[in-house]
Amino acid sequence: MSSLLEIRNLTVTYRFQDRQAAAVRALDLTIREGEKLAIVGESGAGKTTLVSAIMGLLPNSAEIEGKIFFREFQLNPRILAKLRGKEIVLIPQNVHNSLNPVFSVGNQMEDLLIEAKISPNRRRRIILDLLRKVRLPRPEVIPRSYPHQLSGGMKQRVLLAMGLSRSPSLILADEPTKGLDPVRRVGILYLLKQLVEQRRQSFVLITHDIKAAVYLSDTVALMYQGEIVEVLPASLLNTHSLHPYTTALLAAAPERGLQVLRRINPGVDSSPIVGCSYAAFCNLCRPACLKQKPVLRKVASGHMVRCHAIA
Amino acid sequence: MGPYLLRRLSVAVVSLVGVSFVTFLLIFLVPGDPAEMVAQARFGHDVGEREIEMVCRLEGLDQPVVFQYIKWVRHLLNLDLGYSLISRQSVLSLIWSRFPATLLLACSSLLLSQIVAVPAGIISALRKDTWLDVVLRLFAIWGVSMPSFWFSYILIIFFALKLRVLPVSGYGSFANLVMPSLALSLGIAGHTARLLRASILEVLQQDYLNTARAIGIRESKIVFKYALKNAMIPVLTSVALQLSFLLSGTVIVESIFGWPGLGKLILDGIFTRDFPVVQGCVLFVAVCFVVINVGVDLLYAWLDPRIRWEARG
Amino acid sequence: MLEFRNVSKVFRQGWLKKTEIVAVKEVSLLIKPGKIFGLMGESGSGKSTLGKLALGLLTPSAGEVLWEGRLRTNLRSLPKEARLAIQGISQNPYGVFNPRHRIGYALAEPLIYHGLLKNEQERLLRIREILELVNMEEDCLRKYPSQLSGGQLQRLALARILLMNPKLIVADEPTTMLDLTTQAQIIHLLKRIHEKKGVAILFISHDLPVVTALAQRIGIMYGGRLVEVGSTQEILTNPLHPYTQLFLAAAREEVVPELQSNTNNSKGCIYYGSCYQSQELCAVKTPELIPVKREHLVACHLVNAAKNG
Repeated sequence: MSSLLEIRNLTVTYRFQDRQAAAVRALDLTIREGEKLAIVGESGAGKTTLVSAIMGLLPNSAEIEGKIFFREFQLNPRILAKLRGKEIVLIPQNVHNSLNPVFSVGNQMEDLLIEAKISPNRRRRIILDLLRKVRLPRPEVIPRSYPHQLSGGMKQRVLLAMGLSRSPSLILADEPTKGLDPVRRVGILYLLKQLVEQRRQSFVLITHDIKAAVYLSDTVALMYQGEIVEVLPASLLNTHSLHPYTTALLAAAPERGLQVLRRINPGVDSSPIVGCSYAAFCNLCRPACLKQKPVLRKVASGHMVRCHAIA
Repeated sequence: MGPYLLRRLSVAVVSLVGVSFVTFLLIFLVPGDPAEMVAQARFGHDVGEREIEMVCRLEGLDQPVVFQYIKWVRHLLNLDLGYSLISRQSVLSLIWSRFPATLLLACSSLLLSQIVAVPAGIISALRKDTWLDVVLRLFAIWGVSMPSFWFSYILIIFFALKLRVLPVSGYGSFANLVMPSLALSLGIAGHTARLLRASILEVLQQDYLNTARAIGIRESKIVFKYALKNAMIPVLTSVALQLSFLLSGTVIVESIFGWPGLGKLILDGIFTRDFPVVQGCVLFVAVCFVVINVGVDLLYAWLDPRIRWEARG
Repeated sequence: MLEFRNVSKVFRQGWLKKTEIVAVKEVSLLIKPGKIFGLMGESGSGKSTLGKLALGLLTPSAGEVLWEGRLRTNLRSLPKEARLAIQGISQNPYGVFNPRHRIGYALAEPLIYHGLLKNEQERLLRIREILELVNMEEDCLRKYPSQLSGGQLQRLALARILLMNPKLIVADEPTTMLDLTTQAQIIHLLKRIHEKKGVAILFISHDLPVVTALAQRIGIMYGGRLVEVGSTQEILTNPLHPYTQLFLAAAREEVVPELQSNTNNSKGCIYYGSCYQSQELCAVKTPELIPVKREHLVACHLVNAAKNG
């Protein structure tokens, strides 16, 4: 399998007045054709920043270093403007404000297809097809409706339909199950699985929902404070994870007893410049962790960990 | 939309009734005896008791207020606004003869202001914090702060007296229209430009624009279709309201330029205590306001679908 | 204790032609003192509305909400202790505190406003005591909300209401916006508060594992109605209402229900349109919430029929 997306040494820094914060740090990531990857992390991990960087949708206050390659092209704003919506697509997190409230849904979906120079009749048919494909009830009514007339779940599916409309090679789904009740959650997960398995599309799921990550992906990468701390096959996540952060994350799930395996308040200054970024909360922290940043090392086939104590 | 429209219209009707009552009461609120004022206007300043009494009976001013009000409203519904105490002309015909001038000035000022303000607002927003933005904003603030009468005089001194390209005052030719329109448009342009800039900046932050980008819609389309429609809504409503102000006749500018509009009519009416004229004008202006306001509400609902289906708890 | 007596809440829309949104319909529920009750349901089921009714933020359109026998409407007429007895925390920790005030001020404010502790020394002592309970360091008092994380703010939100000694806490989806690890901390904290202070909790959430970890009794809402109530154990092992079964199955990822378009069933069972085992009776008559076993109530014609027949 050839590589579809290659990220090399990506660092994204936000500057605000005189302060700055690195949301993504020296990140390397490769996504192959047809690969299904989940990026798991909590808030502040940098997942959304990473996705925005790939899409070229970072705000002006962000500085990017490093390179991103899509197939053989190095991404820059010009190329991204051409690729967005056609080859690389993002299903955004915030469903409620993601559709323009003053235009009908159909109008917005049509705009997409107008760019592709498709005739009006074909456009209408394609839109209905897409709405049916995402299993929306009564798809004929949707194009005439306005966003505020649709429920959150329906809006999410519309966004999914919009994302799929041009058969992209890479789909990025940003927290599709966030805040959803179990009924809607399982619905969207099943739908995503179906849609993604049908084609040879690469799929990147960004989430903090571990079960969803295991269900939808082959490989899981865990992010913490802008870095990938562990990469392993999804099937091994629940049983063979090694990094202390991963362990703490898994233990905190209610099914496992809501265990709190990390310190609640940071033991040391919570933004260390040197050393491991998890040191402040880590229960395996040792002196070396405060002095030197660990590197991502391979511990088994398809399994890498960034930790002094483990590797 | 239906219930919304009905609601707006009923509110408008209630407003109109209220306005009519207040304008009617005007004569009673003005210091002095109405009958005496009318008699003075007709027979001259030194008017006797007998004349006042006669006027009182003739005009029905001795009747209870409510009856007078009803009589007045009946006249209104027949489009009879009374007669000027001074010129004995029908108030309606007076208004009608003056209104076109005010309308012309209002429209040209509004048009001029928008031609300048809309591009300024857009450029200012898109080139935020560049020197261009700063300069445009300074102009806008200047426009809003500058009193229209002072600006009028500056214009007159410069264009009419120094350069001699425009007439000082008067009505009739296109040249006459230039300076008054400029004077009035300045404040509106400044206000609109700032409002549009703020509105666009706010819209640019919204997630749905980023979604549109993520989906692959061209940047130019995003700005000029998506962002602009959302941003225009508060601006359009504000501009429409400005129109109501302009229609009420900007007294000062009309006076300075000798522009025979409603503003001057009201002013003259006030000075000569010609209260039917004043009443009629106030009522007319109020009606314009109400009509424009209803229009603005409808416009708003048409532009923003969320308004059509508002919920209340 | 908190009692809902046949409570309904209707939101009206429109002026001449009124359309109604029935958020809560004929809910009767008892929450015993010192117990944790988990209220579950999907978005739009009315659970948040019920929480607001308990707090007195909304008044019922029909029925009564009673706290220890007193009505929860017209809070100003109640004695202070009764008024402050029910407190709430909500989903968004970032919206709780005024960004322009320091935390110390925000925590002292309710004490000052209600005249609970006149002396500044006493206030500080009490605040320190509560901060320890919620596991926060004292230096947070000097900080502004923007300097704190979501988890910390949620803990401080709890601290703020605990200062008023509530007897019942209404927690409306307090962990939905928090990370997994932070969620665990907050749930532990709620447990601790419950154990130490004997506070009753009405925990509203759609997250099944979280609710089952915390609550002793669970109620399931659908379309504004309460469809099943029982002990956590009972509900998990023996769910009787078809919707509860679906809800649990979805949470366990065992079944995939279709997305429903809004059904507004005024007559008959609220679940009629989607139920897999409905009959004609279900379309016309609303089932009552009836005890099927001891402390296990279900609102379903078929379940009631099975029990009787």
